[in-house]
Amino acid sequence: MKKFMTSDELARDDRFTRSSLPLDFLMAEEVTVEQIETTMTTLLSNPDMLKSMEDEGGAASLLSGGPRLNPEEERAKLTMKTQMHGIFMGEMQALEAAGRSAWDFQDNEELPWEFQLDMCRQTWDEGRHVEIYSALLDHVDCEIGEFNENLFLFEFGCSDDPAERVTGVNRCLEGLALDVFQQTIRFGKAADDETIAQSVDFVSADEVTHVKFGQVWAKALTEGDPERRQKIVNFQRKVDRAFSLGGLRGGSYDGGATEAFLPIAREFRKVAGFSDEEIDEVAGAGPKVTS
Amino acid sequence: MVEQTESSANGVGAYGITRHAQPFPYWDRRRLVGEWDVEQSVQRIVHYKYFEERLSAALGGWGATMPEMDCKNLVARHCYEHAWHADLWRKRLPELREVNEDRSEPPNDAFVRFVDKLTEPFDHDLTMEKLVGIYRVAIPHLLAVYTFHQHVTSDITDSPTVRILGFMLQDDHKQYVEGEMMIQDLAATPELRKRAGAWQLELDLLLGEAGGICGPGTLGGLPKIQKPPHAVLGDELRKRREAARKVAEAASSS
Ligand SMILES: [Fe+2]
Ligand SMILES: [Fe+2]
Repeated sequence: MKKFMTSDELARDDRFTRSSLPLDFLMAEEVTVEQIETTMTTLLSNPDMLKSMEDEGGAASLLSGGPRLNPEEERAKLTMKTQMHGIFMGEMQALEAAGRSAWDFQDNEELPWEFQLDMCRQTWDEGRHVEIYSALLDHVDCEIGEFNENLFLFEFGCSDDPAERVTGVNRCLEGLALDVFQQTIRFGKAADDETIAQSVDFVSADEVTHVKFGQVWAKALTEGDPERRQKIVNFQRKVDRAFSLGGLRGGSYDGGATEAFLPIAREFRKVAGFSDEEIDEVAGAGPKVTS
Repeated sequence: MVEQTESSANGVGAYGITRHAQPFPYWDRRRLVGEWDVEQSVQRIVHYKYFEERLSAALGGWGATMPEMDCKNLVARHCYEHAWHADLWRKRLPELREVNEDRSEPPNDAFVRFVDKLTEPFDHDLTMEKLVGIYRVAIPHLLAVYTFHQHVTSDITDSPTVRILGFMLQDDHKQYVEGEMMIQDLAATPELRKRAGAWQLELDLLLGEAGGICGPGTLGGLPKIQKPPHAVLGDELRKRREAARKVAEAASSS
């Protein structure tokens, strides 16, 4: 079997459709509100969801007007469907990314056996998350394939360099997952929906372990090599910027932020081994937004 | 006072200080001497470990290449089980005086060719070949070899190995059934059935060339069944009893 797959080679059944990746937007150091609007429109791609965003005042509202979702709002169900479908696809890509790490680096001299063990463990965990999220999709009356898939998690996470791979997948992707899950758990509690709150609580506990894998292996692979360390830090900034979705992520729950679209899960990240400084870096990773 | 019965007088079935027991119950029928010494056991284990590692990597790598979501998830789950098995072997090696716990070796080049062939399929439409390789060739072979190992090694001196084999066999039995269910469900046309059979045969021939996970003699060995003594009948029995009677008479008259 060949090594190092590209994201367009990922296998899917015919329920799924893909939207193209707004690479330039995700990589840009400066974006305009208009660009955010266009990108969100492409990414959401579901007519109901687009209408809902317009009703809320467009993408600009995502940046300024705290769309912290109230479960009693009209758009609550549709928003949950969109988000859960996105996470479902993310879990599938995480399963694939972790499994490919087990395959791609199996004979890498630099990596001890424990690396493969960790990657295989993560593959199993992500498979379980796919199961859990497919059940949650059903729970919110969403069909598999109802929304487009975008491959940016796999695309950005899966570098051919193992140190970049664990940074991209385990630190950036899984870190983003922690932020999203904290939001979902809060939503579940606010909706008195134990199914959502409890299942996502367990998923997020698993993700903390995966972020730890990233911290441990990125450190081990760059120990005593400042040049490589710098290369990894640069890669991490690039991916964190892409994962900020044009600067929509920021603030923090623990700081009581209610205005951000996607606040950072500061406490979860700390348990996973992030320092305050590193969390601030993630929070500030987005591009500059101009009008 | 507990009444003494015939068996408790012999230390069996008694209670307290009159129970003159062995350090294991009298119904324990485990064997002290097994098929292999420590070094030979290590030699087998490094071959097992090689295969478990290659298997876990392939199961991980295949997830992304299967469009069928249930298959994707099946291999993701089993990926970790084989990595865990490899890790159990890794931990057992130092207990058997092997200083390099990372040792992991194929028995011969033919076995490497077998594993390379097994893990070769990549294309999205080769799910059948991937599943057949694992669940109809690799797993049945592991079931046979591990069960064999569990039966012939000493279950007293080598009981840590017997114990971890139990965990692995439990996983492998379950995988075998889950994999076969999936194959039966997927092989909906004669064409797919033929593909499954042809690929299984191709791999099995390569495995045969290698002789198995430990090379030739993977399942071989000397028969060590405990046989009862041969029957003593007729003239021989009569003479033996006569001799015994004379010994007893001499003892009572002195
Ligand atoms: Fe996950
Ligand atoms: Fe994860």
